[in-house]
Amino acid sequence: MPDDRIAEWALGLVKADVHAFKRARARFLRQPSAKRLHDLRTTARRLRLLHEDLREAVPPFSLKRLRRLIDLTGEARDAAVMREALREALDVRERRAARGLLHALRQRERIALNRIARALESVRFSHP
Amino acid sequence: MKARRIDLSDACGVDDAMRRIAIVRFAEVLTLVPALRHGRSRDLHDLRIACKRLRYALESFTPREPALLEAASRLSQLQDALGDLHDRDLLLLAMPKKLHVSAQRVRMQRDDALARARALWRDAFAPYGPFEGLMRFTGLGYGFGDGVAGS
Repeated sequence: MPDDRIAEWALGLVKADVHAFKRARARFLRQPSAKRLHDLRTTARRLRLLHEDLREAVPPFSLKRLRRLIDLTGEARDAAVMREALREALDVRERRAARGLLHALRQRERIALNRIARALESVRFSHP
Repeated sequence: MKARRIDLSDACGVDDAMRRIAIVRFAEVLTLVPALRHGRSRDLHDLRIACKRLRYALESFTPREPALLEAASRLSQLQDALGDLHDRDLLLLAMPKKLHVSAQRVRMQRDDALARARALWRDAFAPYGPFEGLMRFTGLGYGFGDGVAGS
């Protein structure tokens, strides 16, 4: 087990990231938007990666639901970004042929956003 | 690539703990950097994730070690370029064959993103460049940066 100074420092970092995640979650639940989804995803990933770095120095807590949330935000984000990139690169002669893919991406994003809202309800931190 | 577990059990204080984490995460990036040369999607994806791990760690350390700020900022730029590339790779996989003209444009955007990532990496190792503080802090990275040709 690392010494007390390290444990105190590590706990401070994790607490700050938990706080940032909770703020992003509240903002997203209040009014979802692409920017707020990005912030939610970023704060969740940052917390997960920080925990991996410092897991020996902080009290154990489960990241299972946080991981699920990160996957879901990734699905929504990938679909939105792919749709935007396709629109940007789309040749005018292929517009009709791209309709199916654009529609499928929009659907994927919508489904993921609905799942995110449900998953957010279940992400709780008893620690740290 | 799975992140390595970091042993902090016998670390001597916070600065030593930060250094151990930075060394492991920077070493992971350096191990994966040949991906910039050969350009394979899977390896570039792993490199992007490793850059992210290192960047987040460095950003947490900058209040105590401000010399790491520039490296964190360069890693963020690198991550953006690799992210653009990854997004194009995903899109190309999803695009039906009949969108071949548009797919060609997406491939060109992918190539641009790869060229951008290579330039950002190479330039990071210049004397007094963005990685100077990180190299000093970890003792790693000397001699890197020249090996990424192909741009």
